This record gives sequence, structure tokens and C-alpha cells, in this order.
Amino acid sequence: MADESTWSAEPGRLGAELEDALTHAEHALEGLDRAESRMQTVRLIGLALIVLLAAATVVTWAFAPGNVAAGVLLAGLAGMSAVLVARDYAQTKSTRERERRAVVQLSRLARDLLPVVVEQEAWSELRHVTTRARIARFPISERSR
Amino acid sequence: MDIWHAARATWAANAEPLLGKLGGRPASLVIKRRYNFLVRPAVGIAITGMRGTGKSFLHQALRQRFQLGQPVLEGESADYERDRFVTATGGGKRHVELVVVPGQKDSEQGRRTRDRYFANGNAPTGVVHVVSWGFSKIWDEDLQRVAIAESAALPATDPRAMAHLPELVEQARAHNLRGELDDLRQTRSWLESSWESRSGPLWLVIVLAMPDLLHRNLPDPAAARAADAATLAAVGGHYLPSADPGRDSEFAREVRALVNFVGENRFGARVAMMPVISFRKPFTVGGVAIPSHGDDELVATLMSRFSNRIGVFCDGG
Repeated sequence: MADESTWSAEPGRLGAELEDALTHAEHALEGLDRAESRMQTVRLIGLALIVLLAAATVVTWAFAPGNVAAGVLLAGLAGMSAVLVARDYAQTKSTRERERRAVVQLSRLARDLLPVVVEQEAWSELRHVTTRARIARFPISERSR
Repeated sequence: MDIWHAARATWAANAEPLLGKLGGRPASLVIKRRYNFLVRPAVGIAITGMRGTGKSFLHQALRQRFQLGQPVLEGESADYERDRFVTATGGGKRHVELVVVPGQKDSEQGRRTRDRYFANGNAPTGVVHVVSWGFSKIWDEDLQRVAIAESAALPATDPRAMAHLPELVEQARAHNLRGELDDLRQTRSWLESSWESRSGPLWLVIVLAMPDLLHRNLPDPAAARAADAATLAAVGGHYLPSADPGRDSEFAREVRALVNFVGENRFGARVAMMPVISFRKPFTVGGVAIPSHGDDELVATLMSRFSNRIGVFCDGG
């Protein structure tokens, strides 16, 4: 049996908790946006490195074909850069997935409970509309684009 | 005789198969896959309703995409679903564009759906609004726990109460029924603004999804039938406006207000409420399962009546 007295004894508890969840979701959304922006930057850096190294390799072979040391150095640089970029990309991707899960779960809770809170705590229309607008920034699920 | 009197009468007739009176099965709506992209769709259909009512299942069932005996994957839709097809109705071919609106209207995907199908001069001709008598699926298990913890079961005096069900199912139903009303209010706001900007006839079908969950499994068949009849009468009384507007439920008041806003004359007799089983599956919440009743014959009868009605309404009948 649901403990009806829980919320009636503490007026505003559920509403405050919902707004807390929403604030956490908004922080997670900021983290998600940052992670996505970083992933994009890392992708661009990776692409730029590949182009630069390819150009340097071509130039080295064209003007100093016998210089093995330069070729080895360039290959080493290319490999190291690729590993660093890939590692950073994987880490950011993992952060993005984690933030996305938090965003969806918290916003889903807030979205579903909003009608309950509005009715139980007799929210003003302004508070209701404002909270709905905050919730509307979030995606439906982790698969949403 | 008002529009609602006719709707209540057709609900009683439409619900008869659930009481064992299968009657004749009308021909299903003929849907062809061919679609000419150069032709502007003559009919726009929107399937609306709160999350977990089975809107996507209804769409798939309408397109006859379920095979008997084949498992069906269920899950939360991530976005709106769009479909285009041609129907062969009594009045000829109709090019139809259908959209399944996400139950989560207050979301990024919901906003996109509204912008694309309910704004800027766009409006559906027909709306299939799906309700579930509180048996909507709550996808997230954590949310199930919170919903149950924060909702009290409906009091026995409430006509929507099903006192024979486990208490936590009743708590989940109370939560869902509140969400259903909230969803209708949002849907009404979308529809009013989009229908206001367009002229022409409209239609509305309220679909009771998962009516197979309402059956009382009593040892005495006559008592079970009487209990089912009482439940179905309560369902109609809740979702459809009554003869006296003062006795409307909150849900029915919203439906009446929507139709009054755009004008009854635009609907004619094209307002109905129908039970449809897209796919038989139990309702599960908090580790408790309410089994599905009914058989393939019932599923096929209800679906053919529903698709036939869509065809008639698309024809303006």
C-alpha cells in the first residue's frame, strides 16, 4: 500500500525531489553536450594529423628518398598520434554514453511524475509550464537522435 | 440526438465481441504498399496517446505486419514513426500519410513531431487516440517502483477501480490514468491549434487498447460476462462524454471540449470508440503479471472492425 501520508505530511517533498532530479538531468545534459563537442574536436584533430603526416611522408620521400631515419620517425609519430587520438576518442565516447544514460533516466522520471506532482501539490500553471519546458529539452530514449 | 449519443451507442456495439458476441467480421481495410510520391496525401492520420499504450503495435497491426506464432519485440519508441500507404476503400483509392506521435510530447522528438505534422498549416484529417484503462506499459523498472510508491490505488467507489486486481497493479493503473489525462490535455492543445488553421471534415477514433486484460476470470460464465459488461460500461462512461455534461469524467470533458472547439459539424458522425487488440500480451508491473484473455478470432474480429472503420471515415462516411 502506498504511504499516502508521506507526501501529505511533507507538503512539497515530491515536487522538490522532482526539481532536484531535473537539475541533475540538466547537469548531465551539459556533460553530454561537452562530451559530444569534445568527440567532434578529437575527430577533427585526428583527421588533421592524418593529412599532415601523409603530406610530410610524401614530401620526405620526394626530396630525401634515402633518408630512412626520417621515414621511421614520421611513421612513429603517425602511430603514436593515432593511438593517442583513438584513446581520447574512446574515453570521451564512454563518458558520453554514461551521461546519456543519466540524462534519459532522470528526465524520464521527471516527465512521468510531473502530472502526479502537479495534481498532488496543486502547482501553479506557471510552475507547471516552466517545468514542462525544462523537461522538453531532453530526448525520449538513449536511441533517440 | 447529439454526436455523443451516437458514439456511446456504437461503443456498446463495438464492445460486443468482448462479451462473446463475435458477430460478423467485416472486410478489413485493403492496404497496398504502392505509394506514389508525386501525389500529395489526401488523408493524414495521427496515432496519439500516452507512452506505453501500444500505438506502434497498433500501427504495425493495422499494416498486418504481425505473423501468428511469431515473437514480437516490444520496446519504447525512440522517435515519431511515419508511414505512407494507399488504401482501397469503397470510395476509391486514398493516399494516406500516417504518423505515430511519441507519447512523450514534452521532449525534443515531440517538439519536432509537432513542428512537422501539427504546425505551419499541417493538420491530420483523422486522429486515432489510444487509451488503455491504466494498463500502459511503464518501460523503466525504476520508474515503475517510483510510480507505485507515489500513487495510491483508486478508491473502490471510483468507477475506474478494479478492486479484484493486486494493489500494486491498481497503484500503477492510478498513475497511468493520471498520465493519460495529462497526455490528452497536451494532445488537445496540439490538435486545437492545428485544426483551427485548416478547414474541412475531421474524424476521431478513441481506441481502447488491450481490452483483453479487462476480462474477469470467474468460475460462473454468466457472472463473468456480467462483470465484463459492467467494466466495459464503466470504460465507455469514462472516455466518452455523457448525456449530461455535468457528469462527464475529466477525460470526457477534455474530449467534449476538443470537439466543441473545432465544431461538431466538422465531425458529423465520425466520432467513435473501439476496442482493439494489436497483439496479446500480459500486463506486467513490479513483478506481477495480469494475463491476456481472448483468442486469435477475437483479435482478428476487433482489428478488422477497426480497420474497416478507418476506411469508412477516410471516405468521409
